[in-house]
Amino acid sequence: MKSRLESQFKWIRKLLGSARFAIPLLGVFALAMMVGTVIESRFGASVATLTVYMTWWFFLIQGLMLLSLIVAVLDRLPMQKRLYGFYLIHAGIVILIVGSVLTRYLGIDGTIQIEKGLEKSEVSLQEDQLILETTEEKLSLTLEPRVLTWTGLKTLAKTGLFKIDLIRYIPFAKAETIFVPKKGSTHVDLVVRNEQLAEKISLLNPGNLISPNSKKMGPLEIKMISWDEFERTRESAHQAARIIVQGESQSIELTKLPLNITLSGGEQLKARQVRLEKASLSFIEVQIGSRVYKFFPRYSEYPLKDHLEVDRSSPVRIVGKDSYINQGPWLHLAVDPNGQMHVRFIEKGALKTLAYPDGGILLPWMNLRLALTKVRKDETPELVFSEGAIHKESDKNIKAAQIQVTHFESATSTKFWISDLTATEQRVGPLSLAAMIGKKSVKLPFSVQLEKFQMEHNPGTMDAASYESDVLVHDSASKEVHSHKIFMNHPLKKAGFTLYQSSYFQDSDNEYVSVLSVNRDPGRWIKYFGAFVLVIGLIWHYLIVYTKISGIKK
Amino acid sequence: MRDLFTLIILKWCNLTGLIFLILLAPTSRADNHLCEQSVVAESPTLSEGRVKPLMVVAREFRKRSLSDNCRVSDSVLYCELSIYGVAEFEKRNNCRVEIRVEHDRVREILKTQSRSARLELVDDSRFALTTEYQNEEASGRGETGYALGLGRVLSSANRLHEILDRSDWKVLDSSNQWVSLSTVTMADLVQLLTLSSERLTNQEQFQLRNEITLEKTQPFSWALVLALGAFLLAMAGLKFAIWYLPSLIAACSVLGIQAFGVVLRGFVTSRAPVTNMYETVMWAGLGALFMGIVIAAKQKKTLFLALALATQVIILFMMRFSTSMLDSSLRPLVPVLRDNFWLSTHVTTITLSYACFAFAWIISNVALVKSMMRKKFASLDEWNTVIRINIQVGTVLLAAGIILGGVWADYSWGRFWGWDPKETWSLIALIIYMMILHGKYAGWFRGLGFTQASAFAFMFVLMAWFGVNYILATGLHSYGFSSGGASFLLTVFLAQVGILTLSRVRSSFPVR
Repeated sequence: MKSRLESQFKWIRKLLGSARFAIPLLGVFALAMMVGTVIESRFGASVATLTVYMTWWFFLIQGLMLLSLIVAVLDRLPMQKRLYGFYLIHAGIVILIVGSVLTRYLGIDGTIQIEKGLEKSEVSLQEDQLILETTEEKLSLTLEPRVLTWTGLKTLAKTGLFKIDLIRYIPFAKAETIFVPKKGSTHVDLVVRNEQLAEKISLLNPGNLISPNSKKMGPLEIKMISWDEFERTRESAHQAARIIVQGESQSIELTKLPLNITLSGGEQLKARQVRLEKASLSFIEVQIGSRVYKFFPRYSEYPLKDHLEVDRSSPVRIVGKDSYINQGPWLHLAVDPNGQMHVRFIEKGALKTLAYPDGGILLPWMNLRLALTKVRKDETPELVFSEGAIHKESDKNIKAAQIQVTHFESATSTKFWISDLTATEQRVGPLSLAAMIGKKSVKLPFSVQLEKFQMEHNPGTMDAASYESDVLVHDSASKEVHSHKIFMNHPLKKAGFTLYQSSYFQDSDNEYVSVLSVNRDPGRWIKYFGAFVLVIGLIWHYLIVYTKISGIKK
Repeated sequence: MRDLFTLIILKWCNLTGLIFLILLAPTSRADNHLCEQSVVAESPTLSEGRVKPLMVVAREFRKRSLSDNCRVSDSVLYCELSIYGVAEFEKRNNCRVEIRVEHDRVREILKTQSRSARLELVDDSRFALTTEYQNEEASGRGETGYALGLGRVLSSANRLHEILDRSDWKVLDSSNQWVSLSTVTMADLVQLLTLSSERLTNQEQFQLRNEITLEKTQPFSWALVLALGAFLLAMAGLKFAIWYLPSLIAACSVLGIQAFGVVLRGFVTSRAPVTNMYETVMWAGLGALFMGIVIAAKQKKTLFLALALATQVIILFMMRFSTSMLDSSLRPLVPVLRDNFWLSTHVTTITLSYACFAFAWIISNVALVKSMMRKKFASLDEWNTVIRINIQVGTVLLAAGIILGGVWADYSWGRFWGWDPKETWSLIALIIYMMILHGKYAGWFRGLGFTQASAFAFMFVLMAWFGVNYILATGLHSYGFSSGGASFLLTVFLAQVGILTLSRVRSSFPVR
């Protein structure tokens, strides 16, 4: 019995170490890679990775190759001088594979996208995750990478308050907008055109005074405001203005400051005029609680930040005729309770307010004509997702998931779509949460701040000849700061991480965003060593020994 | 063969034409012969991100965009079009200049049957062409042959317009700025052009001079003519041993001329000449011929020299005539490739390995054809030894080249291996040759089997070398095959399968 087992083991071992096992295995490996490249050329790198390069069976092939390499050496022991090169080749490949496994499981390979002035230490990785935020906590849940749509019911997480179930996950989705009823929300579709251009614009006012929705076309800003705001600012005189705070609107007169207002939430609002005699400048300072906002109503309805930047995320605005007139060309829209759209703009220095007439309005800029396509009152757009085509360019693909959040105490549960396009805000019973699909990330032990992004062009063209990022590196522990230039073949090395200049792109404001790739590779030197051994072995075996043994006969 | 003959005749005609021109050249150059002066052809201009001599810019533009029957040099054509416009130019030279139209469906839009169209015709159809182009781009089918055809006609017409309104031709003004010809008064032109090469930096002057030399001497065309002669000598050497030494010397001079061309190309761009398909093919020819000379010299046998020269003739022939697949123009590199050390070591190693495989492939096929034609089956051992040595050298170089590429990638963006199709296919080719070497060791491939296997293995090298760029990059849709490279590969593949099938059939049924 024992001898039979032994002979079987011997037979398997002999097979594993033999060329008749190795050759078909190499063939299968080559074939799998061919399939991988074809998939890559059609569906892009991420699909090829998921269907071939990172699958269990592809790893199995490589594992068997590793086994075959080792057994082939063991079978040819003790060492023979003739085969020194052979041992080195096989050892080199084994070391190379070991190094690659270390890189795969212990290494980090991610990117940082960084705009000028910003400081970042988060590195985003390849893997996706589901991010869910409530007022109290933030959950990051792993999403298994997939190519095909998954449907089922799987509990992703459970806390004391609520649980999250995944219902459907579409890795290659297409998005569609549908309209669902929502009280107070207004949505309009418009077309703005002249001889050269035609653009479709959709604007939404969600029904509060907080976030007017606007769209820029060159210098022209088209803004949808609520009917309430539109009405109340209709006939304002030069110094009359309204201060709008989070859904409340108060009439004020800019000449009769300071004043105190008690907001509906009980907070005190103080507004006063500040004169800077030296600079012959005056501004309005608004204080709510401990927060202070500085306004230059002639310049903008929004407060200004320290560097005279307009703070569009501010909860407070001061709206008046002055702030309108001095802004660039603008157009305000509002829909009255009967569903009639009204517009307001400045023509020849005078404020013009009119109800939208059938057939469109000719605007006083660039011969533009505005035409209304559709008004939706008490409706709000919502994105729904279905299976879509796979794009080769990975940034064109959309990932979407339908999840169900159940709040235990109120026994309410809500189903909704989330995606990697924008965060979805949702209420589940008393719970208010935001969810989206994002990339996994790790935090560096230091942060980088982009001071300057520079680019050189090939003469006479717009093709980049070189580009570089001037960064400040802030060490989190020692609080030290030093500067570094990162450019092609000149990376930044710190704390085991290497930051390379990878690429760049221009964001919606045409600002350059530098893309750095961040890398930590504990297998690097092992791989290099393996590669070195392999090449030495190859030269020894194929160029020195093997040509001598059966060289050319004269 | 006939094409080659034509080439030689053409070269000879060029030479005699040149002598005639020199003899007949008028001593005083009147203003209306402005463009014929050599200072114009050799003047520096800025094009595609690089300072080039006008003669090169003109040749590339003419070849890519125009279809004409004018008997003037490229730079005269370019210069006179800029100065006089199409109508006047056609009248002066009594010929026609039209835009090249290659794609059938583009011709349908232009409502023409001919392979070229008047500029006015393209302008009239511009809206239709642009709309079609945008539709094709938006279709998601990728870079289709049709989209490429449309794009080429549109860009050719645009370029011609730019030449006509004198904005394409850039000259260096007195303040060392590149300005359009339209800002220059014609009376000053010759003086300006003469001065502009002096205003260049030393490095630019050096590059410009070398590029003019490259353009005037055409080393690769001469190498082709000489390689053909050397090949014929080596063939004679197979019969009469006396021709062995002359053919070896001729082969060495082919190597010399080609090396001269390679060095010039390196000087022009100040980087290792290994950055596009044309240059990798150029290196492969050099490497294969070197291997052939070494083997022939060691063995004192002309056979493998003749085969290496055959490989070289094929490669030089491709470089000379297959211009749609192998573009000889020298362009600036994308930033990531601008590292001379890695670029030269990595690409050269890989290309030289491909050269060894190409040489082994040619020997295998000749051996296969030869064994088919013999009545009695002859031993292929001698051939197979040379094939094996080439494969061994190629395998070592390929493995080293792939590793160098990995180290470079790791050094430049921190990733040793990324399953990029180009690197994956080079690994596939390496694995295939590893299979052959293991198979030979295991005794699977013996005699004819080994020859057949090494002939077929080169198909994987072709895929790694060209297929990734010409087949996979176009997205594998049916349109991809309309471009030159893919159909070339398919032809070679089918021919190889044909030879292998015949060889197998023939060896299974020996003729008595």
